[in-house]
Amino acid sequence: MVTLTTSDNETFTVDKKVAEKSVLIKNMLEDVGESDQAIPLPNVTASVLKKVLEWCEHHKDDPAPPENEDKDDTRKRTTDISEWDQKFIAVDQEMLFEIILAANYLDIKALLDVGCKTVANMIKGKSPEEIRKLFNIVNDFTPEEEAQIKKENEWAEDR
Amino acid sequence: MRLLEASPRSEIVRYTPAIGRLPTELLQEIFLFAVDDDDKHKHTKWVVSHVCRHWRHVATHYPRLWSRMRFDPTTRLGSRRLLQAASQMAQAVDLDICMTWSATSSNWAGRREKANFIALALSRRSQWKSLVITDNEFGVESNLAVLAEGVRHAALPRLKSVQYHTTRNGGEGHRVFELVTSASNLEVLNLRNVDFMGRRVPERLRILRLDNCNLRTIDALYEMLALVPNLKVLHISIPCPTPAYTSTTTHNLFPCYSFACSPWDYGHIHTTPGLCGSWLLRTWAPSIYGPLETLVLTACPSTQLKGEQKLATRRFLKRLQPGAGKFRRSMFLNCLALHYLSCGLCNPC
Repeated sequence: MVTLTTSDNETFTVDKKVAEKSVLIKNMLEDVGESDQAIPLPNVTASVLKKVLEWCEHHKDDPAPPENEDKDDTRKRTTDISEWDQKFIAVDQEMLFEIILAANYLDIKALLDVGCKTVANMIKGKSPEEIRKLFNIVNDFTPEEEAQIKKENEWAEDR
Repeated sequence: MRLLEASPRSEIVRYTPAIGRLPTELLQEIFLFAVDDDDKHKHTKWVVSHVCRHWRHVATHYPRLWSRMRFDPTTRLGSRRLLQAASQMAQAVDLDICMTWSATSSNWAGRREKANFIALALSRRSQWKSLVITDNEFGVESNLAVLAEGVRHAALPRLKSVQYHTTRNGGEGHRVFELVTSASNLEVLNLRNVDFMGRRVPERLRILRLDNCNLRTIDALYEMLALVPNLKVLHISIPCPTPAYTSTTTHNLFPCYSFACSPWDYGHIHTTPGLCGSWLLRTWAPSIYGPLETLVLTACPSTQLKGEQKLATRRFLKRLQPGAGKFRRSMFLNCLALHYLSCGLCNPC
């Protein structure tokens, strides 16, 4: 078993196999060796780590991705998400982005992909204005940039 | 939303959106997923660059987002301008070139825009990673010839994949081989309705798919395959290459006596147009099968087979099913998957 301590000082004790879904934790365990000491995760809060561990528990028996997957630009990118993952990631935006950041920090590529695909699916098919509204983004373009964007929109519509 | 700053000196309260906390590389990853299945009606990469200054900066400084250059029949100048702008942002990144040539674009403005796209694509030829051409055009000009001429004496070191599908074999499809001659690192070649006679392909080819390609002499195909030692996947869907061919001529063509002695001697089937699959299996030398991991064969409709031919074919196909160990062990030492697409005689694998 492995003990993890979150930024808000909560501790989680989990199966080693579950914890090792995180490359960061796996590497730490390899470096430290057998130890009862808790692994500090200063960038992850308890509520987020709970969600992340829920994902790791469900996917603990998944095969490891190929070593060179990251380098392979030719792999087909798809935004398909499994049914379980869709339900898992159906959270509010605050939590969604916290999970993405945690997956990035903990180096859990598959979970990071689920998060990024979810956000990508939220973006797809929407206009810039709809995206701004969805994510509470302010339109801060300068008049010059607005003019250029208007031109690009005209090109896009002229098809 | 997250409270970023609430100054006691001011009533102004500034918020930063939750998505704003994502580092640039994660936003780029999200954008890549978002543009993945863009078609001609969507402009997601442009949409994300029109959201706010930060997103525009992230998008326009991420060449991979602009790596797909797609041409659909159009008569509009706007399309060209978007492509020119996109190609600038793609910088030196590997490019996926996708073109559809259609009869509907054969008017003057359509030809002008198509020519402009081809010129633009050719100006970046050293960056081509994949080339996908769907040729539905019935015009007199040969776009393929223009492309082939454009890469003559040029190296296409990054080109890994070429797909050329045409709805007719107008005798010009073979020019695709002029293109691939320059692509020494080509790994995937996918052709439909192309005259394949006497053509050679790069040595590094790993996947070859031929649909309804004209294979008038098996010698050409045989020689070509002998020169591609890395071939892992072969998918053939063709009419019978030599209708006049019979089993009695086998020894004149190939050193494949082991096949002649094999218990699956369906010589009488060879002249059946629907059985190119069995014909090829029987006539290729084992050295061809050696490196294969996947073999896909497609037969013509079974309606062309009758009586004993049909029964013999059924028996033959049964032996081709995955799990027919004897057959696989003896001939397909590395063949991990053997697919025989449905021809009405057997269940599709």
